Amino acid sequence: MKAVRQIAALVHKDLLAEFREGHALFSVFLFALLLLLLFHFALSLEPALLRRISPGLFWLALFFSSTLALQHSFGREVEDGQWEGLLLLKIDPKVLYCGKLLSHLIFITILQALLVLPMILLFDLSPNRSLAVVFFLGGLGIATVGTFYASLTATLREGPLLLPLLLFPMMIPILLATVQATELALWGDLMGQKEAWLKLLVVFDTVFLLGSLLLAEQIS
Amino acid sequence: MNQVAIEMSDVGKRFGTHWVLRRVDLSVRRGEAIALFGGNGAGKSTLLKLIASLLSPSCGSLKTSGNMRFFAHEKQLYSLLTVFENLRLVAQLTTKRVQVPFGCVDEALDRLQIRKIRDQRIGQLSEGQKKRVTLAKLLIGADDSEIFLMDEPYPTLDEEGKKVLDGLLREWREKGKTLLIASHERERTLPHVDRVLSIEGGRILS
Amino acid sequence: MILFFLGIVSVCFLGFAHYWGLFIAPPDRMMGDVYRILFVHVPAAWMALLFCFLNFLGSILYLLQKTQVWQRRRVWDRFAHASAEIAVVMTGLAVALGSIWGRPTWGVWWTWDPRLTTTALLFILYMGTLILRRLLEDPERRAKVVASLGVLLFINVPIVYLSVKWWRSLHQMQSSPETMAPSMVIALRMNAVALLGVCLFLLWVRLRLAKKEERLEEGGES
Repeated sequence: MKAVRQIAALVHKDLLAEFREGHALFSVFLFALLLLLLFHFALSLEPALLRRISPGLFWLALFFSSTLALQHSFGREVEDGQWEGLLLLKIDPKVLYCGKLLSHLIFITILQALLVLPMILLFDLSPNRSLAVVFFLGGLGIATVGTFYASLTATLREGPLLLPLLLFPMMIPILLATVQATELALWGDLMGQKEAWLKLLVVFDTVFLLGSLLLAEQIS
Repeated sequence: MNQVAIEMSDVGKRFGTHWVLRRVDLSVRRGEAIALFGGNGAGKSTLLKLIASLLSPSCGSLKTSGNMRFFAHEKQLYSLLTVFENLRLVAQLTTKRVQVPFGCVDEALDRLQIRKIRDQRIGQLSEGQKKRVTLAKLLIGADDSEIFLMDEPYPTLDEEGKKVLDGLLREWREKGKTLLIASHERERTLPHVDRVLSIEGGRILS
Repeated sequence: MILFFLGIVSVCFLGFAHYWGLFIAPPDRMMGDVYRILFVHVPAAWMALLFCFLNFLGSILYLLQKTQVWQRRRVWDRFAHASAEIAVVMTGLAVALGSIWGRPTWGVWWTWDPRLTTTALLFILYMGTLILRRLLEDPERRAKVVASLGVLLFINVPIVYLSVKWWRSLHQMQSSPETMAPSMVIALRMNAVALLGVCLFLLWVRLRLAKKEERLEEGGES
C-alpha cells in the first residue's frame, strides 16, 4: 500500500538523520540520567525510599526527556520548511503523523532500553520481562500524544514553552497507569491490578491514536 | 478535462489584523504561463501558498484542478541527508508505482548537473547548489503534475543554473504545463510567460 | 433585549440565592457556617464541567462542517472560545473556593482530592488553549487547531478523572465527603440555577463581543 511505503520512507529519513547526528539520542539519554540524579538530590537520601518511588522517577524522567526529543525532531522539520515541503507533495497528513509517531516510538524505546541498566544500578531493582509490555504501551502513549502536540507547536515561536504546558496534563493517565503497572510488575501483584492498568493504557493509546489520526489534517 | 487550472474570486488572506492579500480575482487557463511581479512583502509568496493549499483563504473562493508542484523560497531540504537521499525521499513519497523509479532521480541529477555532489550532505553545500537540488526535487514525478508554482526560482543560481532553469521552463511550456512564476527578474522571466500580473500591497494591478 | 433582561434577572436571582445560602439555610451540624461556601463552590464546579462540555461541542461542530475551511461559519469557533473562557473562570473559582473551604475543615490548603485535582488540571489545560489562541496568527489555522485541541482535551477528561480516582482508591486516601441535609439542598439548587443563568448571560455577552472583535480584526475591507 502506498501509505505504508510512504511511512516507511519517512521513518527511514528520520532514522538516517538521527544516525548521522548520533549525539542527539545520547544527549537526551544523558539528560534523563541527570534528571534521575536531580531527583535523588531533591527528594531523599534514603535508598529504601528512593527505591520505592523509582518507577515514578523513571517515568517522569522519560516524560521530560521525550519532550526534548520531540522538539529536536520537529525542529529539524521546521528549520528550512521541510515539513511544508512534505505537505506540498500532497502527502496525507495522517501519513506524516504516523511517520513521526513511529520515529518517535523507536526513539523512546531505545531510550527506555538504555535507561534500564542505570535504573537497576541506581535503585537496586530487578526487572522482569513483564515490564516490556508496560514500556511499550507507555512509550506508545507518549509518542502518540507527544507527536500530535509537538507538530502543533513546532512552528510557533513559543513552541518549546507551550509544548510541556499542553502535553503533560494530557499524559497524566499514562503517568498513573505506567507507574502503577511498573510497581506491580517489579514487586508483585497480589490483587491482579496490573492487568487493569494495562487495559487503561490500551484504551488511552487507542483513543488518542484514533483521535490524532482523525485530527491530523486540522493541525498540519 | 477542465480548461481552467486556477480560479480565484475575491480572495483575501489576513494574519491577525494585517491583510496580506485582498480582492484577488484570478483565472488561469490550463497551459497558461503567468509571471507575478511585485516588491518584497507584496504578497506573492502568500498568493502561491494559497493556490497550493498550504494556507486557507480568509474570504473568497479558490478552486484548482490538477496536481501541483511548488518551488518554494525555503530550501526544504534535510541538511543531514545527502543530495541523493533527499531526492530519493521525494521519489519514494510521490511515486504511484510499487517499485520506486530511481531512474528519475538519476535523470534529475544529470539535468541539473549535480551528479558530482550526489553524495554530499546538504549542510555542506553552497546556497546555489542547494537551489539546484531543490529544482531537482521538482523534476521528480513532474510528469504527473500539471501546475508548477515557482516562488523566486532565479536568485542564488549561477549563470549555468539559470540556463538550466530556462531550459526547464521552456520544456514545461511545450508540454502544456500551467506555470505561475513569482520573480524579481523581469527580463529573464518575461520570455517564458503569456501574461504578467503585478502585485502591490496585497492587490493585483493591471 | 430579552436576553439582556434575563441576564439582569439572573444576577438578581444569584444575589437572592446567595442571601438565602448565607442567612436562611440552617448551619451544618458538623461544620457550622463554614460549609456555606459550598453554595458557590459546588455550582462553580458544575458550571466548569458544563462549559468544558460546551467548548467540546463547539469544537466538534466547527470541525464537522463539511465545507472548505475558510467557508466554515466562525460562530462555533466563537462559541468554543467563549465557553473556554468561562470554563477557565469557573474552574479557577471552584479550585480556589475548594481550597478555602478545605483550610478550616481539614486544616490544609490543599487536599489531593481527585475531583479537585482534575479541576485544577482542567484550569491549566483550558488556559493553555487560550494562550495558544493568542499565539496563532493565521485565523483559519487557529480555528482548526484550537478546535482539535478542544475535542481531544475533553475526551481525556473522563479518562483522567477515572484514573485519578481509581489510583487514589487503591491507596486508601480520604475522599471529600459531600453529603448534604435536605434542608440545604434547596439553597444549593437555587445557587446552581442562578449561577447557570449568570454564566449563560456571560456567554451571550462574550459571543457578541467576539463577533465585534472579529469584525475589528478583519479590519476595513474584506
